[in-house]
Amino acid sequence: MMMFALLLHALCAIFLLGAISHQAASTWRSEGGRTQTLTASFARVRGALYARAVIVAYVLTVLLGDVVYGPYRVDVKTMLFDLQLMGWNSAFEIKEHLVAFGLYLLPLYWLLWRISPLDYAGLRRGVTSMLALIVWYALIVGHLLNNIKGVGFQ
Amino acid sequence: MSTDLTPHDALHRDLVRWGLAAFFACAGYLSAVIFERPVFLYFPMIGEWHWAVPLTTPAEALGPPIAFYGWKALGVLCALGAWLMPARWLLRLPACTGFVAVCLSIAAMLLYEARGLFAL
Repeated sequence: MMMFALLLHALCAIFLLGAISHQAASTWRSEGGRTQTLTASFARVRGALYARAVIVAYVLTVLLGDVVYGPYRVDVKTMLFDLQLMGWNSAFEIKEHLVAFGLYLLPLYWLLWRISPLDYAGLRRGVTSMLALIVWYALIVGHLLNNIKGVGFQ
Repeated sequence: MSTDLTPHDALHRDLVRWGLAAFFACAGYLSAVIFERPVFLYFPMIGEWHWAVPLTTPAEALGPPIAFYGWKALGVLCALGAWLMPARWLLRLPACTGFVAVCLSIAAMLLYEARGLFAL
């Protein structure tokens, strides 16, 4: 059961990573220029369409993360302490904190993507890019920790 | 007061309010982490929730506690503080105030956690 929740958590996180990366790239896109390159195509999305999907995926990923956090605390974190892997424990704690901070930013993010693209473009770019960085960090650290010891394995 | 606002002012007020709500939440969360004051603790081995105010040392028999849920809940409670601020104050602040403050909170959190991180 926990392994299934962890897999679903990972799949939601991967979906979120893709959506927020496209959206963040779209906020840095300059109008005009070459449109045939791979990077230009990556950024050439209608960012506003992604906002709702990003919020749903973010909240779902956080909720599933909360579900698997109990077994993580008992099995994995205890093992990290036993093996004196304090750096990895800190890396995961930073992930927890960043994800919570990102969660608190979601209402502002939602509001910024509901208004005209010409208004507050800099703030929209900043908030979206910050959320993208948080998601990237969380996914990489979560993956590395899972390599050390996954939830659901004895 | 709010009926006198132009649509642009109303949007500005909302952006500042939600930005400050995010900052208050981050500040509350970070304070709870640094001062070890979650609202409640969860003990996953026995499946029990315990109020952590006033904080009591958890008994060994309960197993390892989870403070993370209590930190997040405290952050949400602190976010409500943004609705105590009058609109005229919010209109004087730049729209990015809350976001900049959140970035500073992230920097403070990274500094706090860096102690353990360098043990990697």
